[in-house]
Amino acid sequence: MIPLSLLISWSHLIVRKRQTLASVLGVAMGVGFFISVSGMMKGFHDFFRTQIIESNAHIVISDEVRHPPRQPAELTYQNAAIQVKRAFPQEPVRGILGASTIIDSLHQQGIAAAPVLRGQVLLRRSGRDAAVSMLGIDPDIEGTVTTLPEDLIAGSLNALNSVPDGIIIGNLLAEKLGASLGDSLIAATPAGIITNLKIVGVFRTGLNQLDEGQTYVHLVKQQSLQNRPRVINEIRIRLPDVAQSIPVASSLETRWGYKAAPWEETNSRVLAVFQIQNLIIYSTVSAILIVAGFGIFNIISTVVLEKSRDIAILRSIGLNSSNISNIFVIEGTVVGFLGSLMGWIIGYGLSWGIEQIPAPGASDPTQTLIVDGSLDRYLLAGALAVITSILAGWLPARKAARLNPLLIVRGAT
Amino acid sequence: MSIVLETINLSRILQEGDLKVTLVDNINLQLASGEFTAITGPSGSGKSSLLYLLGLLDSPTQGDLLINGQSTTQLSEEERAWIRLNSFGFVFQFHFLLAELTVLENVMVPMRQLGKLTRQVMGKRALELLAAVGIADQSYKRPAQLSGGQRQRVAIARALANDPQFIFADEPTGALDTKNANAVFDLLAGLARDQGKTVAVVTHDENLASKTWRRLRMEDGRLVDNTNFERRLG
Repeated sequence: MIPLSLLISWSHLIVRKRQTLASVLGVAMGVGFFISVSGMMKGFHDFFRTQIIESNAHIVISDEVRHPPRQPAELTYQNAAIQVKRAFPQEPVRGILGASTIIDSLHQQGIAAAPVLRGQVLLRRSGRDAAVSMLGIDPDIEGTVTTLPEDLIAGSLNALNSVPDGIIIGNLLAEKLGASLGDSLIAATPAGIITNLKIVGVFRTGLNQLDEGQTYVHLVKQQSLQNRPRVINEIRIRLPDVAQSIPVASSLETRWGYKAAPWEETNSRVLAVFQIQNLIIYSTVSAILIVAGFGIFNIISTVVLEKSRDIAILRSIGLNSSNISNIFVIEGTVVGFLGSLMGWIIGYGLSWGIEQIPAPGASDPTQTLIVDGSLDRYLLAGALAVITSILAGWLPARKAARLNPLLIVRGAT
Repeated sequence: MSIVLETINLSRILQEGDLKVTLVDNINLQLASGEFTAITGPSGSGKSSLLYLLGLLDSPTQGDLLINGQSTTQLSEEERAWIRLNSFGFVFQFHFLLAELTVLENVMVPMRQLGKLTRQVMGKRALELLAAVGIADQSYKRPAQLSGGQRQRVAIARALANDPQFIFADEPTGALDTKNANAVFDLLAGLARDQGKTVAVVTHDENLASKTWRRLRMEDGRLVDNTNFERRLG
């Protein structure tokens, strides 16, 4: 049989159909927006994160050290309060020493790794300039560490082997320079070398930073352009499991001494922006739920006031204070559950609607907004709504439980 | 005829700041089973306050209240609620029926709270009680559809739901016309006479009070007239 408290709460909710519906709708809206808006944010972040992970190496070992080596003068006079004048700092040759040893060792562990010489270059075509970074790569193994082969929308990676002067550029850079596949560019490097390069490939990753500012040539070509024969200053690594990037990077750094940056570090700014966006989105959508909670609080408080006579007689009959407070907590809980259920439907509908909207600024025109619709998002929104509703019912319920029945039965006499 | 309720120097003093009001002043009285008692007195004499103390709705500031020989002053609020549920039935001037429930459901409220009977038995018992107060045909209506007299009968049926040992009524006829008031009093008298329940009624209506078998008169919180006390006990 239905417990007495439930029967009475249900009768209160049924009698106030409109108010009940309004508070259920309030919760439902909160839940619906929570699911769809935070899902949209998560979908966007996941998409972006995948783009970053796919287009970049998981770990980059570069020819830098975290702490610059101490100069000979400092080592000679440790802890000394002296100043050595005209002591020129040692200038070591830049580049990763023993890069092939590192790469071989990684390959033996089953980890994909590829050598890179990164340098700056100024590209010019028909009076338009672009200062970009140029990566000398090994075309045969580049595909094992990045998705460059898949990102190509024109030409091929292998052309770098057959065309010694070949260069692969991003689609945005191509637009900027007004160049397309097969066109020639004038390249000037910091080493003072000026030469002609021929576009043998155009790629698109979807990340403007890369599509606009990164170019690829053959490693050997780059070494001659930068006048750094046989030098490698980056090793790009792709892991079987991207989640391991941070521990693997730190162990590599400990072992080889060179700075090994996981993708999280390289993209720390983007990830920080994601966190701030999350903070804003979640506080906004949670605020909707809290406002809905205030609505429930308001309605149940009114019911408690209106029903003080009922409370008094129920207390006289022999219901104890927790029986009384249960009545109103149940009302909040029922509103929370109904609101959550309705909110799930609204959230599902809104998510579907958002997924029909073309993504603004996407390089691919058929790309629509992505909404992450994972179950735990629904559960989280539902749990938050139910907790808020129970709290909103519990506060007036406490007041109801404390009501002195005597004041009412006496007052009505 | 045995003593089922006894007060010993029972007092209720209301204190708010420096203001001190003695509602009930040092009352000693005994109620026996099957006794139909009226508590009368001018308004403000403390007759309702005394009834609330007897009904465990209020706590005395001094003295003790024995129910079936057991002291009640040390009981927790939960235990007092339990005694009210099991052994007491209340009828007030205002019917205090739950507007959202049907008449039958209202009568079943105390039974549901006690939870000793099955739903079928509760429904059957509620119908019997409504028949006993003469309104079985109104069982499935809402309280708002009933007349004042009918509502008060429902309230009496509800007070009887758990077959209580005691019935406490506070001005139960205050909102009724003479005909209905007489009918309600006859109902209460029947409960004492036929079922051996201890019935205490607060009323300011001397005419109705004369229908009871025992009259307690209060003034300024004190019991001033205890006439007919011996008649019933003897």
